[in-house]
Amino acid sequence: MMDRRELLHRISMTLGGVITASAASGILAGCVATPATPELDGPTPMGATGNFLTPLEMATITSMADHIIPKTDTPGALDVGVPAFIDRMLAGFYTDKERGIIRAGLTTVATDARAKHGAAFPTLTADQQVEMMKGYDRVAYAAPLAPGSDPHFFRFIKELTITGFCTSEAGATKLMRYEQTPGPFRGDVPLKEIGKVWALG
Amino acid sequence: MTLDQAPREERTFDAIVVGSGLTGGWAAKDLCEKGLKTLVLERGRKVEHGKDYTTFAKNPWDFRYPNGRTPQDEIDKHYYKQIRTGYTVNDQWNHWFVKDDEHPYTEVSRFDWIRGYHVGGRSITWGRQSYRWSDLDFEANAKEGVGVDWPIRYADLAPWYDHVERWMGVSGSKEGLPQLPDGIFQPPMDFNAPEKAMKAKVEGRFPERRITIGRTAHLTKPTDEQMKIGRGTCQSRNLCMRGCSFGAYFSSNGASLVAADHTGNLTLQPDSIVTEIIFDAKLNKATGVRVQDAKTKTVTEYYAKVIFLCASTLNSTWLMLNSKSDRFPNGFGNDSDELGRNVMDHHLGVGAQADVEGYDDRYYSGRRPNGIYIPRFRNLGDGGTKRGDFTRGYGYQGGASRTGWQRLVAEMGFGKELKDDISEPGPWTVGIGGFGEMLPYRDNRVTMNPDVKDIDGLPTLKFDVTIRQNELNMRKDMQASAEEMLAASGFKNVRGFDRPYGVGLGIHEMGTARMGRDAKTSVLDGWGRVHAATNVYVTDGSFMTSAACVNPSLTYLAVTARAADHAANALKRGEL
Repeated sequence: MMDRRELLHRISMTLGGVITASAASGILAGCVATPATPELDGPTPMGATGNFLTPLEMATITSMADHIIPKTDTPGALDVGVPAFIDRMLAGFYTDKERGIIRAGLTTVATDARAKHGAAFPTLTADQQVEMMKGYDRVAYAAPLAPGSDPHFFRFIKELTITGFCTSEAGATKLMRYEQTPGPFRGDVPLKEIGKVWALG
Repeated sequence: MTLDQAPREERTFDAIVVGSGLTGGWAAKDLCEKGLKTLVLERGRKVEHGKDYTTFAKNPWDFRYPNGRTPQDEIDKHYYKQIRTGYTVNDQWNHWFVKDDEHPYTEVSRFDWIRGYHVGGRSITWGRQSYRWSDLDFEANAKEGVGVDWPIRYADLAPWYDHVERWMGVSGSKEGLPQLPDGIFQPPMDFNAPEKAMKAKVEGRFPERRITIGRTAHLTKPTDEQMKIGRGTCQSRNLCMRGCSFGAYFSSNGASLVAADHTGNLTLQPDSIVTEIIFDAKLNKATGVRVQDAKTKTVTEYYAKVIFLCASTLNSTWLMLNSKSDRFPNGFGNDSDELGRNVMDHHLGVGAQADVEGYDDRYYSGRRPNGIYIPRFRNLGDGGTKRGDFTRGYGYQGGASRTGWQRLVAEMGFGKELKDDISEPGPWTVGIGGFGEMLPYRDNRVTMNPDVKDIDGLPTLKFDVTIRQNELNMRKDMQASAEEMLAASGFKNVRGFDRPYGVGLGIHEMGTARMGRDAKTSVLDGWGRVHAATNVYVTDGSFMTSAACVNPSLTYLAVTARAADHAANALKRGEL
């Protein structure tokens, strides 16, 4: 987990360096003081930046990604830029329907955080955040996802985090075994010899 | 119409080959090697082996979205039909497929026409599975009174299968099965641990069934001849559809066109859409072709003594339908009215999957670009394999593998535990899917639609093609037998599937200018020549009189090689 200063730095980085750490601090302060101001909670207009997530949403996603795949002795989700990845996927890859699932989910998170703890999700303690996430996780995985149905927002955030991490260079090469050109195929070898999972199936 | 042309002699060749894909490339190679000055006309852009495989060296994180995934809005705009396979639309290889908005076609019933226009055609993206036919296949129509009889038999093609396998390189295992003749193979690829167990259990329980490794056009032990043109051993990247700079699998770009070029007899001309075959009614021969430049729309005529149509089944048929004259008011060589009829494919998307317990300490090294193969075991001509509910048969392709990080998306939990799981291979899973023979039906038909034009201003095709009761009955057995074999192997949670299938999904479209013994009921003779214009050979999938159940490309190549030899000999004898 990271401290608040680290978080502020990360947010400023994930916003593409367009704001300073002190501005990010202002955003977080704003999140706490006036969570419903349109500048903070309204959708970022698409276009010039190509971003989708609002500063509060980005901060929430950043905290969640950090808990989903934390930094240990190997890189975590934030080290490989998962929040920016998620923003880029939402802005450019997914459709309005999928963007809607994330936006509605993050609105629920914001509402729940205020109701439970009287503060914005990114400013909660790590324990408070994890506790809330466990609740969403239980609901998200209560039943298997039926084909063609919409995923629960938390499952979607997990999917984006895992995908962003596992298809990043550090994720693929440090957590898994990655060989673009493995050499002639051998069909039956001891797992010990390979060591880790292949990054590419 | 023929302004700005070079002098006629500069536009005259011994042979013209229409199309540079799998069969066009091979026709070019064999014709050039036999000394014929050969012009290959390709409608699409130039593609240089290696240099133009633009995604060859990319890592998952080098694409704009992970692993090359293409966003939905681009799919909706450009690839709304190409997407139907589920695997062809991806930034890793989108440049090898047409944009549907540029190349529309009309569907009376669903038809999946998956294709790409560029030098090399689908030889870059093909599945590479390579199987011989047997006389069980060649004799079936005659024995059952279906369609017309093939004018050739296995003995006619056997030396040409040899010729093709030796030069292109096929890895596989000899099995001694009459329904799936052995060929000239490079060393087979390996099974993995659960597949070995499955082979032992299935073959023990069902003596008429065999599990072999896929026979695939990958080099596992290249010959000197193959290495001399720059080809090398398969590196098990399984990124084949990007194009292989190692030349480890067979493609026109990496093999046949290279060899053709080395002879000095090849002229390869991209961006050249052949719109018409020029027919001389006095000579009773085709004299050349009319070509529309894909960029400038300029029209130029080219001439040759012999013409090979290798534009892919449906595009060769389009070209013939578009070549109308006083002699051929219904399309080139179409006296029989069979041109465009009898469309076939291999029906697939039916089989079973299961979970595999155990083998936790076993794994594999590399990504095998191949699977296991279960040859046909129904209706083999004996009482024991005879089915009352359908004729012909099917084979299965599939395999076992260990799941990776993707499985974790479906699991509860997060944090350090999830992160640890990322590094661990998941459980093994296994699946097999059938490839079924589809019968030729005369009213399964493709026709010209002048009302819808493509980006080149040319008329397009209209499809009215469906599978029928024989295929539907076969599919039930394909699913049941798959479930039965996975269960017999001791695998758990066996789940059969039968997904919606549109004809064409197998990307094995064939049969629209069938071979036959009688000009009244077929378009081509046993050499692949148009009955009514014997200097025109059609050697892509158009010639197929029936479909068998094995992947067809090896047979297309054997027929192409045999036809090229026939044409060169006829030319030498002065018959053309």
